[in-house]
Amino acid sequence: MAEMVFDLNEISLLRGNRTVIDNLSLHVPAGQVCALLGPNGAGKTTLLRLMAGLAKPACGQVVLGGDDVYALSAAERAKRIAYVPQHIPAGLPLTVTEFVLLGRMPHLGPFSQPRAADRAVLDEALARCELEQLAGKRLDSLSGGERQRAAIARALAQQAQVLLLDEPTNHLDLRQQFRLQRLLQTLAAAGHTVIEVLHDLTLAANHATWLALLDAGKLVGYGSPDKVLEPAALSRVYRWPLAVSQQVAGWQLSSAASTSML
Amino acid sequence: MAVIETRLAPGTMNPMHRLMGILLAATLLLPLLALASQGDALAWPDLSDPLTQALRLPRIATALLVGAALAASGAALQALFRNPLADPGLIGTSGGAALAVVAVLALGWHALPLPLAAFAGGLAATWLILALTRLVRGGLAGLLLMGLVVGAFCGALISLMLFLSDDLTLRAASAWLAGNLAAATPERLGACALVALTGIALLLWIARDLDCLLLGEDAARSLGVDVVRTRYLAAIGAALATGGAVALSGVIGFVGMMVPNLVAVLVGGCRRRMILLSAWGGALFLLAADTLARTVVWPIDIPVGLIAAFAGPPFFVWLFARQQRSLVNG
Repeated sequence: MAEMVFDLNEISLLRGNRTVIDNLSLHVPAGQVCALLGPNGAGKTTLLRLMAGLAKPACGQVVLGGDDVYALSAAERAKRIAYVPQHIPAGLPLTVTEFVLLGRMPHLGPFSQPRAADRAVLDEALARCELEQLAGKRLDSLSGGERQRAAIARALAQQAQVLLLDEPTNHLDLRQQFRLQRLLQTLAAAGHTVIEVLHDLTLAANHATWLALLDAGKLVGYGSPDKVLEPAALSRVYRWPLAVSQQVAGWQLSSAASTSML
Repeated sequence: MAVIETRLAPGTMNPMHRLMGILLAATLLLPLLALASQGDALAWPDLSDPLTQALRLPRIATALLVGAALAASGAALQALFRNPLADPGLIGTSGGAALAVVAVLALGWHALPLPLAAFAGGLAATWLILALTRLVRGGLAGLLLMGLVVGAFCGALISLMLFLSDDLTLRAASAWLAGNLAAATPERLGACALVALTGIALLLWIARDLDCLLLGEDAARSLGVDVVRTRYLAAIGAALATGGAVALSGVIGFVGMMVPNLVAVLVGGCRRRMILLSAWGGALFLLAADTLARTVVWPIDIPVGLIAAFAGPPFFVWLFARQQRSLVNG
């Protein structure tokens, strides 16, 4: 049996009177690229934040490698879980190098300077995200896609076992989307666990090895792509007729709506 | 935190080196100019002159300290509020400090040292802003608005207290409130320097956490930053620095907004460098402004706060327009 990295046991989260996560249990396997799928408002980002220890459920437990995520100190959690939010604020006066080096925060004291080992981690993170040429540029002079890559490099610099990414392909062009997914697969092969929120079902089907489908805060399906990508279930969750096909080139998901429905 | 690695065209000067060159040159020249400016003439300064020792040197030291404290405080508050328009004079930190000092003067509580009163007032105002923002769930825009509201409320309380004061207190408090460096004595300078420098040191200590705070609360927490603790420490540090400055010189607005933003535009960088460079630049800016205030309509000694207040609004408009442009351009 595969080692479970995250065990989410019967977690619920309310926002006002609204149930955002509804008695959800999920066991995320280690060393995989996992994609959280679902329509807008399904609770994907909230679930990711719960895993990152950034939100606390009203009830239930989030366990990481046997430890309660909320019992870990903030620094310990940061060494084990890296999190990339959806948005990176505009107007930061930092250079790319300084921004990515913030990923070493959990490993540095308040006045300690980055050492050679931190520099090596920085260089590797920059190289993996093709940012070497932009290292000295200011973040506020970069495009949205370049900023997104810098945010991913910052997460890589954290050297955490678990990488949580909220819609990481936002702002990325096609090449960078595929490059990122290949990088995530490489990280997973090296033993990291990657969990990403994705809206592009085809991208998720072809690059993630494990999927979880959410709807209205509930887990509708999870497992390998061929188990989760059921046209009937997907059409029900997305409230739109969807067709799924698996070809030599990979999975293909498309609308099955007739033109009269559009 | 890290060395800026910029690739520059041959013959182009690194912006950081250029700024350091300007600051070093100004550090050498401005104190000399301030000492040499005697009335409407320039004269080589005589350091053995009792007048220079009793008045001119403490005033120069006061300008340097107040400018450094206000600019460092502004650099930290802009990270805390995640808004480049934050300034201790605008958002109520200075207002709270001023209210406490006016209360001490008006109520005759002379046993309470002014720097401590100013620190307590500044801290109370900053905490009130943070608490109100949490109460109304106002987000970042709310933080700045609550700051303006608290600042205005402090201003109203100061006006009420002055209205109810006797003539002597009114005159003393009004002259001090306008932002004046002339009243500094070596004793008061020492006490205020201790308070203000403690504040700057605290801000430098948490500077890396402030960098993370600029990324957003979730990103900061995911990097191991205790966001609540950082906010409280930043509020305490900014209140100490501002309190020390306000107790010495009254309310001088815009320095804390202008100088860190100029540093951000010219070189940028991590918050520790921003705080250090802002403190350095702020010290020199206020010394230059005070030298101008003493000499521009000699023999009248204009409050230095007025010079800053004249320069501030156009700068504020430019900065706001620049920020809107960057939002539009993504």
